[in-house]
Amino acid sequence: MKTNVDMKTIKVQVIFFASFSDFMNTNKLDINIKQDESIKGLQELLFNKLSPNKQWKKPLLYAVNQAYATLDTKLSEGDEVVFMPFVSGG
Amino acid sequence: MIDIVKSKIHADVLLSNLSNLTCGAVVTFDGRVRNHNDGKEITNLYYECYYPMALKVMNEIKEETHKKWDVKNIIAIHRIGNVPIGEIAVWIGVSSVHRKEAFNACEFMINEIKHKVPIWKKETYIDGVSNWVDCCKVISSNR
Repeated sequence: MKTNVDMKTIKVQVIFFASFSDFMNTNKLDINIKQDESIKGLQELLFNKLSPNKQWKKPLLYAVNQAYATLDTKLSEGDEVVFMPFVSGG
Repeated sequence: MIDIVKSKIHADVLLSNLSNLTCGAVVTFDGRVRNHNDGKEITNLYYECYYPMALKVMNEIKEETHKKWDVKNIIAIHRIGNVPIGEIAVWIGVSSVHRKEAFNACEFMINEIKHKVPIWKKETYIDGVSNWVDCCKVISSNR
């Protein structure tokens, strides 16, 4: 059985855009998460620990290393993870 | 040619780059900033961009377009930052031997760019209030 002492962590860079950047009050964070954490786990960390008094109610898109990803995507050391609202270019 | 620029888009220069003596059709699309949206008067539009991924996705869309239609040249330019009312925010040009391919490819390019490229716009209204534009179109492929 693993203990917290055994649990390896990785560092990822998290980037926010547009209205979600406004919601997070920043556009970039370096975050330590447990190895093999998914985007879903990272999102829960962002919502529950970093912005516990606010609630984001709109859908989000995700990208890892400049490619669209899903909530199930597992993260690795040094990944660039992006949380963004639905796009509205053009 | 695919690009994302901060300066004014000069359609006449881009159009001249599409010239090809084998092509009987050139179809272009200007996406311009209009002065109203949802009944509100708009004074300015600001575009934010996840630049490296936006460029990558635009190039992927261009490659997909080439696979779908037999077209010679495709140019797509998106402007970011503040874009004044009436100016071009996105410009697309397609040349092909016959018109049908160019029309279809141009429409496909602008639809895909609007739905897939990580760019967001923020409207500023006549009363000085600004809001990000929310789009809820689901990205359906390659996620």
